[in-house]
Amino acid sequence: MTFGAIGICVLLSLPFLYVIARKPVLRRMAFRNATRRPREAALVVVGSMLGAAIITGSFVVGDAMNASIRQVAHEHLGPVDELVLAPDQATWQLLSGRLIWLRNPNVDGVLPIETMAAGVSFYKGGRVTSAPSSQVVGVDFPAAGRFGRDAGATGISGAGPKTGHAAITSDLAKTLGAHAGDTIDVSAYGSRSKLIVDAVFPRRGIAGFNLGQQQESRNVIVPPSAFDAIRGVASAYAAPPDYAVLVSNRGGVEGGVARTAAASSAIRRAAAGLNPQIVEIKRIALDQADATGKGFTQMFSTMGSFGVIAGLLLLVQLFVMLAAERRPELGMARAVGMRRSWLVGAFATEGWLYALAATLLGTVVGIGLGRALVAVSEQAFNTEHNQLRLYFVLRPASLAESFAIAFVIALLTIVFTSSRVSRLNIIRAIREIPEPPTQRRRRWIVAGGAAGLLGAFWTVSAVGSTEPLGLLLGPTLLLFGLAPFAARSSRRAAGRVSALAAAAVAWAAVAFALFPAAAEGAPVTIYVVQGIVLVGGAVMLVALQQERIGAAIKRVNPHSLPFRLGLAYPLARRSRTGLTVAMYALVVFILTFITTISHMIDRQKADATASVRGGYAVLVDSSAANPIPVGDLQAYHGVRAVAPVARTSGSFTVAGMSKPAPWNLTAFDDRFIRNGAPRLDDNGRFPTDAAAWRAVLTNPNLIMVESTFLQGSGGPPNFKASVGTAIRLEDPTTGRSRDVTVAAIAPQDGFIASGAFYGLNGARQLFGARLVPTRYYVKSARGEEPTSLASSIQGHFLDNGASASSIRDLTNESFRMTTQIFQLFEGYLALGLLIGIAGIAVVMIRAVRERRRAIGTLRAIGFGSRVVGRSFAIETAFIAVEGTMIGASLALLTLYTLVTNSDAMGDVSFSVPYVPLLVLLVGTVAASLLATVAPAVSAARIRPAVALRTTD
Amino acid sequence: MSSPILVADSVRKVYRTGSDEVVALDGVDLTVAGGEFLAVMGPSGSGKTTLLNCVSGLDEIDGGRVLVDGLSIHELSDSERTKHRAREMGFIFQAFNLIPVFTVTENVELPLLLAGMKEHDARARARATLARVGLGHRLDRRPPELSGGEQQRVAIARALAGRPRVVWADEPTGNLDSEMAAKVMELLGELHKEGLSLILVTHDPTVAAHADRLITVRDGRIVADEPLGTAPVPTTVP
Repeated sequence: MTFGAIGICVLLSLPFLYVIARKPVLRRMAFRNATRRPREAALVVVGSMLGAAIITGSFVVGDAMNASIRQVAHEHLGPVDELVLAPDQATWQLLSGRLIWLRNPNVDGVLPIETMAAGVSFYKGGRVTSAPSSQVVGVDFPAAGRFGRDAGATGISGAGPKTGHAAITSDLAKTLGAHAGDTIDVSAYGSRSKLIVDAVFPRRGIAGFNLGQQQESRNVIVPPSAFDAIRGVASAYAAPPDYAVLVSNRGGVEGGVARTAAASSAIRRAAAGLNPQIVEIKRIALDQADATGKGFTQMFSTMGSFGVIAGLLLLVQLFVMLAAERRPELGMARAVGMRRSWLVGAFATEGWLYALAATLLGTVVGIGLGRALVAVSEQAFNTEHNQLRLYFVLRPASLAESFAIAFVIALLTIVFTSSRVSRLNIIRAIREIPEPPTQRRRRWIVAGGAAGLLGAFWTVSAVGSTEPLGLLLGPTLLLFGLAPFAARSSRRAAGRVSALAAAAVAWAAVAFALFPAAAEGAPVTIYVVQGIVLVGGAVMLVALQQERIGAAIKRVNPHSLPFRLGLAYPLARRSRTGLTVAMYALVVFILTFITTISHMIDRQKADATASVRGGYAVLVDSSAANPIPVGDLQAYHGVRAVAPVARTSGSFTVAGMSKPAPWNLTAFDDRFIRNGAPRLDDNGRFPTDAAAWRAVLTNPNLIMVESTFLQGSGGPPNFKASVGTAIRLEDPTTGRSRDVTVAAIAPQDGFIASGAFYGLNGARQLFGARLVPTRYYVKSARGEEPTSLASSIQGHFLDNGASASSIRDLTNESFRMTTQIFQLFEGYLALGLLIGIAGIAVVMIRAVRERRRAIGTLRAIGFGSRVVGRSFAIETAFIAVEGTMIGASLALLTLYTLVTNSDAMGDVSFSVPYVPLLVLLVGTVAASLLATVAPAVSAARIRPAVALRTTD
Repeated sequence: MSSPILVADSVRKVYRTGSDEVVALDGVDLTVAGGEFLAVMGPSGSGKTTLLNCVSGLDEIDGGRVLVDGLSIHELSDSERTKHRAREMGFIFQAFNLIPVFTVTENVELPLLLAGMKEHDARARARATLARVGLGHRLDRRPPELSGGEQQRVAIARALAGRPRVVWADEPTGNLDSEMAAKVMELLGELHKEGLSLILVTHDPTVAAHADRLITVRDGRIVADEPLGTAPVPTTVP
């Protein structure tokens, strides 16, 4: 990819390098013009680098997410590539005996391992610290140290602790405050063992072995003989330990993944007859890292694309400005014999220099932006129940790719603009006479006819298939194609084309509300297209109706001369005003969109909490090796009722998946329904939620999932589960499976992470004795405060590894994280505003230069310098207000139609965040005015005699 | 003779470019009577436009004093001088210098609004003045839609609409063909006959011939000052 990206850049640069090497006149023109006015050159470079910064920033964030999840794979798996699961100890011993002798060129290590959940406590100086969610890992130390032929990657060293001793991971040591030589208490299966810490191992490889998603690994690592001693006697309620054989492929921690398929076949052959379940765990982890990284890159770049498009419009403005200033020179160059193609060449070569400098600078700024985004993201992602350390990495391939994208976009824009600005009439250019409007009616009619036909066909096919892009762009293209026909009669051209533009805006706003099926599972990019169509149509409409808008505004203050002067130019210069308004509208559109969604989700907090908690107040998790007896919890002070549920990780397959993906599963019994199960998002064909819950409980062919089921965890692209979705549910350990159907949609419960809900009896048939209730939904007694009750339960059932939280606190924490992520997006998108503000500054600088003589005349006939300055401020405010109003109102309109007419946004209700929006709009206009201060002051300082001087 | 509309006393103007100094006006003394039509001629670079800019208050001076209608304009602040220009003066430039985004009427009513006239009255006066210069049929056009001669007539209307005491014209026919130039000068002549003080810079003797008095400027000094009216008018431009 790196070479491909660099290759494209070099290939596109060849014509310019040729000009520089072989065309001395063009080279001189390009270089001297680029360096003649350093301030202007700097303005062009800085203005155009923002797009590159946005693109690079999104790649850096994606790489950080990818690297961070890969780091989890390094820490939790190390050399482990495949996990071969055994349903019980006897099978495991047989399996280990077979695989230990596996000789295969793709495999360089086999290691039997057993794990069990445990609670660990440490008493020191009268103070107790505990780590309820820990695990005991039983492994042969010397074998583990050799595993995968990379001792450093296993995290294990030494011959292993003797009886009564153990090694612990640095995470556990940190949680407990324990060091080598200290004695810890390990509780599992009702027995308590005292172990002396021999060594503290880093969280890496076998030492850090952990199948959970969290970064921390609180492991007590002991030899197999000690493991059996610690386990004690399992109660009937406890889950048995997990037994597995780890397999390492040749080729290092990440390199071995390429041999996964071959190694899996070899394992399957070696374990024939034992029916082992092989989990390609490294591949899954790395695939997930890639998918998450790409997802973040796509999310940031999609949202950032509004800013990038605004940046392109700015680039066009900058180039047109340069060309306008040099018109007489360009005219003279043509007059003395320079061909138009040469002029394009000289201009484009100058642009190539700017694009190169801007993209290089933008890439550097983008790295800084990405670094800042990663730091802020890390804060957002780290809450009490979610830890994710983010690693800032710079991948040359990503930098090359982002550079290439930014460079190519900038270069194409520059070449196109150079070609346009080089079309000039020599005499008009020399004498600085404005070019008349072009008369290419016939060409427009042909183009419009073609576009209209294409749009009509696309519309017909898209309506039939509810294909979102066609549904959005087909009618838009049809309307666009009609515009040249509507403009044929000049008398009513503006009115007719305005009507077409209004129709395009209306269509883009309501398309997905009228065809909600098209929005289901549509890629995010479709919303970018929607935003662009909306903004484009609205800007065209406004540009065509500027006279009326201006007349209406003038009524506000008809006697003010600055008002009149300030509005005159933007109303008369429709194209230029339209470009700048579009820049504002694009950026404000996406900012308003994100701000409003964030606000609506936040407002849903109370309702979501009520849905998730049902009749319960507190959620208690306990160790699978030593679960809390239900009777004990039921009898605890402040507890009114308890509903135990069993949690496990199942393997799920839906249509479109070649391999199953892991997802949480919660198995419930009648008690869960009796005390008030969560409120469903969709109870399917059942009359009530309770009926749906009862059907799933009693019918093992039915299951209940949340709307985000399998999203981001190996599910098909753009998959969204709905009532009736067919699913294959499988126990990853035994391979037993059942085909089930989604009966209802459960609420998303954030950090509670229930996953799919399934009846306990049906789940036991699949998962067997390993499935034991370890989670308890607690209904509190009247007047009992949930947070205090949770804290009290956690302290009381410490030996059972209890971890209790108020359900309200859990959902609030989840909402807080979501809000922070949205704020992160807003901060990132605000960068696009800089483009809009830079755009208005450019327009004003250009205006001062162009209107120098007009300003001189106005000053000569009696306009005061303040009036001139004020008129510039009014002009800026008009453009900024028009752009922000268009962007904000279109974003609200789109969201309103989406929320009220489709279920794409779930259960959120439409609501306007007045205060944040007001801050956004006022801030944008104020920042724009600030950006205009310098040009306005310079306009006000123009001395009439100097501006008007021609000769003498 | 009526009281002077302009008195320039030892006016000096120096342009500085880096370490170079160019003396554009070197102690110019000039008096123009009210209602007089003065033409200023001289070769390129002689200081004609600079003289016009300095004595009208558009530009600063480096020495001397200028009284316009008895008021020492260079002792006024920029703001006061601007207001004085709006009330008492009209300007006509070679390049017309109309505001391209305003209609013809809007261009002409600008100085009236600046002088504080009500919008309705300003519009009526602007229309009447445009009719006076023969543009009553072009009221709602924008300047780029007009010919050069028409644009200059709009500029004249703008200069006259406020009924100024004095009109300064810098090469008003410089961008026009001879037929248009003759029409414009005929119009200015009529206005002068109605009592308007007119100070006009030109290269063209046929244009200067319409004036009451001609001064010639060379190297920043007035080298000749002669009354006209009896002198023959050349028929060709040298």
